[in-house]
Amino acid sequence: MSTISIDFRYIAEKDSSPLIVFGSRGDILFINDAAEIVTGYLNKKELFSLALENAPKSFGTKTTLIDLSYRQFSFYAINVCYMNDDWIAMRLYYRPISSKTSKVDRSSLIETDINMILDATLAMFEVDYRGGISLFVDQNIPPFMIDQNSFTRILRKTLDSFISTGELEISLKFSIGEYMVIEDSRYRIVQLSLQSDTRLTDGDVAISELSEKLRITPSFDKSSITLDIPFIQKPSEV
Amino acid sequence: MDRFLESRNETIRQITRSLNSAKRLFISSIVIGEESIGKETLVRKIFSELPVVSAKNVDLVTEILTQNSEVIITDFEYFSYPSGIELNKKRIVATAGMGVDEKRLDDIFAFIYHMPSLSDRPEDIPLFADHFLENAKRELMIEGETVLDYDALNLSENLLSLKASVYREAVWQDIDERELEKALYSYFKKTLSGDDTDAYRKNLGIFERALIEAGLELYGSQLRLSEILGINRNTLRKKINEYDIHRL
Repeated sequence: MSTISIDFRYIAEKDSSPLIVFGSRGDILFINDAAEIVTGYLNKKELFSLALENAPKSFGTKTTLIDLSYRQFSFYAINVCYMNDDWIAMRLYYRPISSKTSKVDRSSLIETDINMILDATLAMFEVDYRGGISLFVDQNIPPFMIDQNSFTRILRKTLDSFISTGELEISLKFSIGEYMVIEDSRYRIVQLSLQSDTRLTDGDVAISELSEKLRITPSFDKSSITLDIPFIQKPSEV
Repeated sequence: MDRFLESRNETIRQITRSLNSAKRLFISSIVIGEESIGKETLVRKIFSELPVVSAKNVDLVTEILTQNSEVIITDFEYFSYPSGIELNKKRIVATAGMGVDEKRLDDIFAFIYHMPSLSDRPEDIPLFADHFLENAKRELMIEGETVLDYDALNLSENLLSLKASVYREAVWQDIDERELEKALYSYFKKTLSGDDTDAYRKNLGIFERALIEAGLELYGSQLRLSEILGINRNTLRKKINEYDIHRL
């Protein structure tokens, strides 16, 4: 079979598994779309170290089963290969996610300016919070469909995780290039991140449970919580 | 009473600001605190268009919740969760006393506020005391000046006791000789008992103690006061000890 006309570069670029080819000094020679997203959360140096740690002893390919979790990303295997000293390629394999069967209760969704909810919740949080808050929000996020009461409960619990911190950084923006699929429809992601030097973890379970009902994906870290919120737009009226 | 919206207390201002923001959203909020701190007044003022019902009236609560998607429920500590009504599809604005079970609130309310008692926000006392004094003077037709000692007002039952102590103070400071006699007459008529054997001396103390206390506060020295009262200095000292007056 002739492969001359097949564009392997394009196939690699569009592959759903992250693929990165490093040069001998850790510089990136090639990166596909899926890996671009990962580099938003893990820096180049960390990824290069990961490749070297899992590289075969001599030229060739090695696949290792590993348990890697970074924020919402979870990988179960890594494949590293190199044919000479000029490059080394690393491919990560996503852990399959059990499909969620819960449906979004659309009757509770109301077209909402998320900044308005954030404002109101922050006003309540500041009654007891004594630290400083830095807010980086995209004021241009258009209104979208949210279960206001449940989302505000999630937000209150998320903020409460930072009640004893001295400084809290909050950012609200569209996540570039990321989407989530809910009931066969693809949605953009509005990402709300809260970051401090530490936080309380007591509310994590409740945040996860409430989030699942709204199909929000929470990611927990020792000093941050990120909520990936589906940008569900109001159905257009016929 | 619009005074709540003018509160000088930072916590109350934050709660007011947050409730005003919440007004534009379909979310449930509850304000928890002691009796008579202004919870109801605050939510009624901000959510003035919503029907109001006390949770003590179970049947009416069920009826109003069935007919309305938004409602103010007061006394939420008495709330019995009605079956067949999806509370998470309602916008409930509630107030509750300190006895409310907060664990149950978490499933319904997005915003849970704790409103401070009056004694925890002394900066608000002049605001309310002056407001009550204004009302007292109008209602009781008092024209003279009333000077309030804000620190001496009764806050034990928050606004309820504050109001009562302001009204009393307004009356006391306006009273004339004839009214004082009338008040003493009523008091003696109520308290004189056939079992007493020392009533004259005991009741004289009511007059003497008040007179000496006021005199000491006005004129400072016992020497000067004994001159004004026209009694011997030693007699005055004896009375001060007898009534246990420690002002000087």
